[in-house]
Amino acid sequence: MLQLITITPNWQFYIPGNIRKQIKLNRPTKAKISVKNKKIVIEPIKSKILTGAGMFAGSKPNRKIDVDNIRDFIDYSQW
Amino acid sequence: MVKIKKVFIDTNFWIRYFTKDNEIQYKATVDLVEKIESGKFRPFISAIVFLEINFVLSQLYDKNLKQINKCFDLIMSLRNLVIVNKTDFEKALKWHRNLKIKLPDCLIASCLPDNCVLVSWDKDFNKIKEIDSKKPSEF
Repeated sequence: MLQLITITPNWQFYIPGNIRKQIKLNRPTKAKISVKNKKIVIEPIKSKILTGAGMFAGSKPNRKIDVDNIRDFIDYSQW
Repeated sequence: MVKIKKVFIDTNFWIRYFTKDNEIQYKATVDLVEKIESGKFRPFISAIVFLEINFVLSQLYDKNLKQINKCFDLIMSLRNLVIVNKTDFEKALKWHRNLKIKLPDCLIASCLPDNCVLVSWDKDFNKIKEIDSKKPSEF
């Protein structure tokens, strides 16, 4: 769907809700911006830290631990 | 002007963020990281937390140096992250003696900048009246 938006004197603009919905953009994020065939192309990018969420999912500790009280399982003499 | 809230992220938060050992609590960690990335909160961490993450991942989860360094790089990429390297041992020792809380917990609590909320599941922090501590799900 084509929509008209306004580019402000400070070169800012609003991304309409239905456009955000179409690309599943539901939170503020960083984006890559470039020019292709005289058109502005904006590509939202996932933040680096969020790409690592759950990176060790499925890993089991080698002994029974309680993550809430993780300091009970840290041997400070091993630092 | 809206003042951005300061949050100090504890070790158990990061272990849960990376290991996803508990689905509900993992989701709370991701939600908070998303809020930090959108600029709603300013995150703080200390060198002690990095050392503890290193110990837990290497000694308890058998992760290698490369994997741990990857975690550190990810944490360091957090938007507006501030690393606190200063502790107040006198304050920590007072809490440790008077409240019978583990000394490392007290050292972490002593790192907190003014008006900064400690994000942790460790209930011992609630005993320290001078600091504000909350679970990730409370944000």
